[in-house]
Amino acid sequence: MWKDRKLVFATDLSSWQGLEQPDDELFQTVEDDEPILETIKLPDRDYPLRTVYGVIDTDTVLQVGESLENDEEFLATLFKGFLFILLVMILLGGPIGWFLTQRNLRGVQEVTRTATEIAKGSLDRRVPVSASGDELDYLAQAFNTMLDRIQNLIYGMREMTDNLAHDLRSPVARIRASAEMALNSGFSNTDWTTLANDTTEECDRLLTMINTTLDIAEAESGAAKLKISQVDLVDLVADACDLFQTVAEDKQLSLVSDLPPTCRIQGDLQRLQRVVANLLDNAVKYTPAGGKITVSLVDDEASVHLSISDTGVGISMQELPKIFQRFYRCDWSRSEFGNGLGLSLALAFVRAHGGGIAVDSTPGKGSTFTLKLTRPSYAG
Amino acid sequence: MLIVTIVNQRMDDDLEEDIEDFASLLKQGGFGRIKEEMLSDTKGDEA
Repeated sequence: MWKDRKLVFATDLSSWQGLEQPDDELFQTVEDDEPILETIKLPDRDYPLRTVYGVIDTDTVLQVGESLENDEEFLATLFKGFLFILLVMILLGGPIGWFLTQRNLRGVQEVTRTATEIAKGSLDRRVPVSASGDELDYLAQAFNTMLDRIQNLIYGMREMTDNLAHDLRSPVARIRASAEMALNSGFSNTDWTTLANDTTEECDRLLTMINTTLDIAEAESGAAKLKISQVDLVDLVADACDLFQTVAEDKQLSLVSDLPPTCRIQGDLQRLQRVVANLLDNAVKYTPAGGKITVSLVDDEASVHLSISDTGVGISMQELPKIFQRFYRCDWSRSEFGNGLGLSLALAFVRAHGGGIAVDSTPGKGSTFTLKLTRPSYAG
Repeated sequence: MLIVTIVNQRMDDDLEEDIEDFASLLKQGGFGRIKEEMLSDTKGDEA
């Protein structure tokens, strides 16, 4: 402590050898301004001294100081601690990162392995799904759902191409047989005419099959351009019933209809005619003599329900899901003329109108096909 | 660096606070009181 720049009191400074007396300039600065802080390095001390000069009374300056030993040791310890934590993080981070990456990659590798096996032909392979519920599980589930869909499509295509090949083989074989016969000599003009007619018939049958397949594909893809107009379904169904009445009578079938006075909807007249004709054709074809076919129409404003019921052979539960597939024919139907496209075409056309067809059938008792068309203003 | 700055700043604040404390001690207890306090403090490592 200095009074009038003369030392008046000092504590024991034996531990602070080399501490110098402040000069006049420093005194002047302290007396004029704020306290002065400085760090002093003493020759016989390992750690520097942090000191402050301040005025505590008129012309009285006090110097207070403290060794930086504690602070520097604290900082050194802190630094060592950080260094240790950093080292531990590096040592542990690597293996943990590797483990986590491997664990996540395992799921991706499973998907890759499954995709590779499927590419080799194992269509029934699926990615194992664990119970962890993480993102990889969602990926595996989505992947498996996609595979189920693809598998169903491929099996459906296989079945369709098998049926197509089967249905094409007979007419082509018949055309070939006719051509072979034509190569033989000794044919009369009548024979030539018969052969030519047979060949033309077979070709027409093939063309019908191909055109129907294209019509179905067009309707299912949404590419079909419907000629929408106001159609009275009562007139349409009544005309169709008149058309099939003769055929039904020939087979000793009773064809009755229960129709309201009128039922107007917006639709494609020609396509709806083909739908009703196909359903009636099936009912007549597969109902044995003495049976009954009932056509009823219910209009509840929101939608129209056209039902065609027969007392025919019926369809088994196993076959019901397949009857709308292209070229599918129930075993008992193969004896009848047809190409297995009628119901596929009917469903495709009705769906193009935003409707659907429901089937209820009991083998040996009969079937009911219900066509539902929803009026656009009521459609959800 | 932030920790070093904080530690140094705390040391400076403590020292400046000591100056203020001694100044008020001088006013209250005179020269004798401040001497006592200084001797008592230097039992540690302060000067």
